[in-house]
Amino acid sequence: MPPKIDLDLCTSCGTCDEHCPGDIIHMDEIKGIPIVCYPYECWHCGNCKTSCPSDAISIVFPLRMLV
Amino acid sequence: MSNNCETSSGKGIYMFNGIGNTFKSDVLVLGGGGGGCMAAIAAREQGVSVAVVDKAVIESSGGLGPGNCAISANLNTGPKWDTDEAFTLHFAKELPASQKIFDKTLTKRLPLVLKMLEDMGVEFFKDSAGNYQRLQTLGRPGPWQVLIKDAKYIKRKVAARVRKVGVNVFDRVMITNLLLDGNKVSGAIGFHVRTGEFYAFRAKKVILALGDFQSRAWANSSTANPYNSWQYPYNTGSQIVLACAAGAKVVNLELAPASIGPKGFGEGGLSDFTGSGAYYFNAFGERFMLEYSPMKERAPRKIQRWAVYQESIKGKGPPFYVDATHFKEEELKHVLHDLVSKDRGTWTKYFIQRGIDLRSAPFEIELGDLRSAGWVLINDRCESTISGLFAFLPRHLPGALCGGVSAGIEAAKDAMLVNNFPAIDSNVIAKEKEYFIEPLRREEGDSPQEFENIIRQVMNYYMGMVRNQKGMEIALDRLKMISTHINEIKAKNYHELMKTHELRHLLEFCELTVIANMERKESGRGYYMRSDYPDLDNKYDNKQIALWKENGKLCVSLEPIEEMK
Repeated sequence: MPPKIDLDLCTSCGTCDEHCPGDIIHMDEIKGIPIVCYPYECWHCGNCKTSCPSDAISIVFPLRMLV
Repeated sequence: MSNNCETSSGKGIYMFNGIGNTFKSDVLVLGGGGGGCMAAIAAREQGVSVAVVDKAVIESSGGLGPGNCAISANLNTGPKWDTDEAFTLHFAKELPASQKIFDKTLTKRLPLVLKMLEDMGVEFFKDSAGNYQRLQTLGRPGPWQVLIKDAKYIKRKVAARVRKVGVNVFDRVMITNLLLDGNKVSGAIGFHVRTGEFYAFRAKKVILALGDFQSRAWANSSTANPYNSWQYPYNTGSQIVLACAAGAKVVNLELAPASIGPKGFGEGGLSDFTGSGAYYFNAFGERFMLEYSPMKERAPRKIQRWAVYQESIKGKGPPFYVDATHFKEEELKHVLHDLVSKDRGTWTKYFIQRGIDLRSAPFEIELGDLRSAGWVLINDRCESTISGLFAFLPRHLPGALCGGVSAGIEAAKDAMLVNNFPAIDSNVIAKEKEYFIEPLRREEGDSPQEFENIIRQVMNYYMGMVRNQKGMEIALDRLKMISTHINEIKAKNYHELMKTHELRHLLEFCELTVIANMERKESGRGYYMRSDYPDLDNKYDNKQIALWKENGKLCVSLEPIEEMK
């Protein structure tokens, strides 16, 4: 389910939250980690991955896009 | 009563009659995509104060956010095809738009825009002699496409320049309506999509740059997910709806394009393959484009789209394929790594995760987005038909960037001639504020997602590739019925509140689209066919269908494509 965030690499900078044009990634204020809140609304644009300074994001296409 | 205060958004935010955040600027740019950003830069460089507003963050917002590997540009290098005249003639005819307006606001700005991009750090592919590397595709008479290096960073470079030159940037603010002072546009209102804070913007001149396509009204691609689209799925027609509601004429809503794309992945970029020599095949191994155009796979997009549709009607597919197995290794690498992956960075991931090796097998394609489109009618100074409002012609990347620059320069020049700010009406603002927040306060109702699905049901069923009068009448009737229920939507949070207001505009854009389609009683000029009028009709030569509102009533007319007086 895109995008996939590796929390071991993530530094909680919040850039993916900021740079997602669809408002689908939100930083969890309590846990301090990014959450993909609205995966269905993902454009698969890769903006989050492009902007991530830690290369913590990979784009995983859902099954419906691979059949 | 007003209080000046400084906020993290910048100086100049003040309370206006208790309404909320209010900001004044000489020029207000609505939309921070490629066009909006260039408009903001161009206006600011004229020396006026500028605000740009976007519901996302300008570093990544708009269709340019993921990148764009090429820009069509004439460079006047000598051959007949590489002249301003040839460029203008080809693209103005394609839209169709006035050649004079296209030439002045777009073609003539290209050298400046290429220089601006290079000044921002955008690099182009060039040969050892320093000449731009170029690509010929989509039925164009010459290799107009200039290729951009590391194109996925282009928007970030443009946004950096916006901030550097001192434009006041309002990220994450969604515009819900324009403000009027009599018949003059005086500003706009919106809300912060994370905090719900309400904003009122007041300006001497306003530029609309909210995007010229929407495809969310259809469930595109075989995945049936409307966000799986080539064009930016977060545009839902605000550009057209706000302009029309304010009384400005909007045109050519019925001539929207449609696309083909990689199977299951609503993305453009096939022209990077076909422009480099790839072939299309159907299920029978036939290179079917030979039947539809002497230009074969380099035919105009409209012909390619229609060809795949016709082949599917005949049962010649699906599947349909793009075959690049005959590419040399360096050609394939160039297309994959320099071109398509810079159009959208997820292309190569798509091939890997589908298990496709382009060296040994073709990849499947499918009919993609249906769309609504259109633009605000402008003159050769980018002025719309109502005072104070500017816009620009849509023509993908060159349209956005060049048109944005033109609109920015002209709006700034006019703003400098105006001493006083137009009035904004606090009663109107108060009413809009209550209307915008209402879905959040409602105790129960349909989710915006469910409501949007209902809109798509109508558009998918009655407004496909082939349309007829009766079907469109029913579509309009059903859309109007849906609109009577719009105040039943329940938004659970600010994200859903944003979706609610997106679909307000989406619904209205769909109505305008159907009306415009009903007016055009012919086929062949656009992408869609009317089965009840299957042929071209000369009465539409050099004409455009315009829609606008007067005193809340929709007006429609067939108008000549000529310079506005």
